[in-house]
Amino acid sequence: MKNKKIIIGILLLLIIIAGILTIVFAGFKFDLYYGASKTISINIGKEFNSEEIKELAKEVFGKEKVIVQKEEMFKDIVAITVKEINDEQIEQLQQKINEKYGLELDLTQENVDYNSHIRGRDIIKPYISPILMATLFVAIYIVVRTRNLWSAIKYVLILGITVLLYASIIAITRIPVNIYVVPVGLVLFILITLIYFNILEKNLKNKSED
Amino acid sequence: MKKSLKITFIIFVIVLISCISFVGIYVQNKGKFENIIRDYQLGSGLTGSRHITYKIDDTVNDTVYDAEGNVIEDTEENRALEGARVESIAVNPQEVLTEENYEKCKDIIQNRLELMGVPYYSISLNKENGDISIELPEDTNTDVTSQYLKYTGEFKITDSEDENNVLLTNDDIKDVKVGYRTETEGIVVYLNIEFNKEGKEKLSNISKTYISTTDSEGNQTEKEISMYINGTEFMTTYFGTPIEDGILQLQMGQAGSDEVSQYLYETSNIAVLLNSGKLPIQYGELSENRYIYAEENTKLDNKIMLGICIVIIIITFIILIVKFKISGIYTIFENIGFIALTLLAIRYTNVVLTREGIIALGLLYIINYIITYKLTKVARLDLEYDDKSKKYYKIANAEYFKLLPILIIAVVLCFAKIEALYSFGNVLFWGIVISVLTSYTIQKWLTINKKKEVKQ
Repeated sequence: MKNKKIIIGILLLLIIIAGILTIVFAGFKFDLYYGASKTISINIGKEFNSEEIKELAKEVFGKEKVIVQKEEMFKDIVAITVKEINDEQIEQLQQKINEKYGLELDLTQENVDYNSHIRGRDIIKPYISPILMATLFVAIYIVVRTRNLWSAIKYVLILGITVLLYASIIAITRIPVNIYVVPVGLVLFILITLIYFNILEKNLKNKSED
Repeated sequence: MKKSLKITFIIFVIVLISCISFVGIYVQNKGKFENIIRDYQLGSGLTGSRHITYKIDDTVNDTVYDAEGNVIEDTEENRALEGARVESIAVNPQEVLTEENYEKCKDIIQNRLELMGVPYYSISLNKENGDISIELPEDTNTDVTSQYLKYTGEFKITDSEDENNVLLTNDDIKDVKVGYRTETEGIVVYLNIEFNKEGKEKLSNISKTYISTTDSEGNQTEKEISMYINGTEFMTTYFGTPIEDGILQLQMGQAGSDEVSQYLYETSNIAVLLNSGKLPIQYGELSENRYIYAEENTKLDNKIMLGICIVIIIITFIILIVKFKISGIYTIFENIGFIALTLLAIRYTNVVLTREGIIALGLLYIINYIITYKLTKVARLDLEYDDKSKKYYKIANAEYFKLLPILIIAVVLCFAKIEALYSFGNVLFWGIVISVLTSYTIQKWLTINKKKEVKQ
C-alpha cells in the first residue's frame, strides 16, 4: 500500500515536471479562439446559413479548423476565422461565395484581419482571485469543522497539485487550450472538493465512533 | 389523503411543472402564440460580443515657427516665410513604441476592464505593432467603456499660468474613490483623490501657495492651479484652506435621484482611469468595432450533444428502475422535477447562463442523482415508517452536509464579476437549494409512506 502511494506520487511528480518543462520550452497549444488567426469578413448582403458557408470554407481550407460567425445586427456579414489564409484561398472562397449567392465580390487581403494570440495568463487572470477567495473560505470552513489546520493545508495542496497536473496534461498531450479548459477546470475544483469532504467526513465519523 | 391519491397528485404536480419548464405556457397574443415563461438570459459566449481593436495613434503634429522662434499659424504662406521652420512632433515618439510599453498598455487596459467590472472580456496584444484587441459584452455601456479604455488616464496639476510647471501627477496618487452626499438640492457626486506620502506633502504646499490674497489696498489676487485629466483641462481653481490630510475632493456634479446614476457611472470611470495608471502610449481611433455572434453549432453537433445527454439520462433512469423497481420510478420523477425546477429558478432569478453554467447543471444532475440513489436505498429497507423516516433524514442530512463546502464555493462565485464564474456559482447555488428541497419533500413523500411496504 505504502509502495503504491510512493509510486503514484513519483508518477504525478514526473508528469508535473514534464508539464512544467513543456510549458517553459514549448508553451501551450491554443485553438482558433485563443491562438493567432486571421478573419476574413464577407458582406453577403442577406441572411445566410452558417452551415452552407462552413461547407464552402471546408472545400477551400480542407481539414483545417474553421470558425464561421455572423456579424452585425442584420446578420448579413460572415466572419470566417482560420489559422492562415493566402491569396489563392481568398480567390477560391470568393469564387465559391459569388457562385452560391450570385454576388460579384472582389476579396483581397484587405478584407482580412489579423487576430493576435491571447496569452494563457490573460485567459486565467480574471478567474484567479474569485477562485482563491472560494478556496480560502472552504479552508476556513475545514479549520472550523475539524479544528485542524493541517486538514485545510492538505486541501489547498491537493487543489494546487490538481491545477498543476491539469495544466501539465494539457501541455504534454498538446490538447489545444480552448473555451472548455476553464469549465473543465471548475468541474475539477468541485469534484476534488466533494471527494475531499467525503473522505474527511468519513474520517471524522470513524474518529467519533472510536 | 390516501397513499395512491397522494402519489398521483405529487406526480401530476411534477408533470405540470416539467411541462411548464421544458415546453412553456403559450398564450395567444395578436394572433400569435407566445410563451409567457421567461426566457433564458444567455451570456456573451453563447450569444455574441463586440470586437474592438485599438491602434496606436500615428499622428504627427507640425508646429511652425517664424525667424524669431515664435509659433505661428500653420499655413502654406507662413511655411514659405523667410527663416520659418517646421517642427514635427509625433503624438507617440519612436522611443515610446517598445514591446515593453505595448505590454504595459495591455496590462493597464486589462486592469481597467477588471476595475470597471466588465463581466466578460478577452484581450490580446499584437507585439509587432502594439494593436490591442478586446472582446466585450454588448450592452448599453459598451460604447462608453470602449472609449474610456483607450484614454491615457493622464492626471496632472499645473500652475494655471505655466503648463510646464507640473505640481502633481499620476505618480503621486495613492487611491481614487467615488463618493456622494445627499443635500437639499439633490445628490452631490464627488471624486476623492487620495495622494501618497510624497503627494500629500506636495498637496499641502500647493494648497498653501495657490490661494487668494488681498493686499493692503484691498486688491484681490488669485494664484490658481489647473487640473488636467486625459490631456483636457478639467478645472482651474485656487485653494480656500490648506489640505493636510492628502485627500483632494472634487465635486463632479449634482443631480436628482433619477440622473445621479449617470454621474456616478462617469465618475467611477474616471476613478478607474486614475487608479489603473497612465498609458505610456496614446491610442487613436478604433480600427475594428463590430458585433460578432457566437459560433452556431451545426445541426449535427446539436443532435450529437442532445443525444449524449438523453442517453446518459436514460441509462441513469434504467439503473434506478432495475435496482429499485417502483421506488426507482418515483426517484425518476424527483430527478425530472429537480431539473425542471432548477431551470425555472435560473430563468426567474435572472441568472446569466454561460457554458460554465450549463456544465454546472450537468454536475448538479449527477450530484442530485447520487444523493437520491442513496435515499431510495433507504426507502427500500424493510423498516417501520418512523424508523425509515429517521434513517432517511439521517442519510439526507449527512449527504447535504457534505455539500456545504460546494455551497460556500457557489456563494463566493455568485459575487464574482466574471460572467462565467457568476453563472457557474448561481447555477450551483440554485441547484443545491432545489436538490435539498426536492429530496426532503417530493422524494420523501413519494418513496416513504406510512403503510409498511412489501419488499419487492
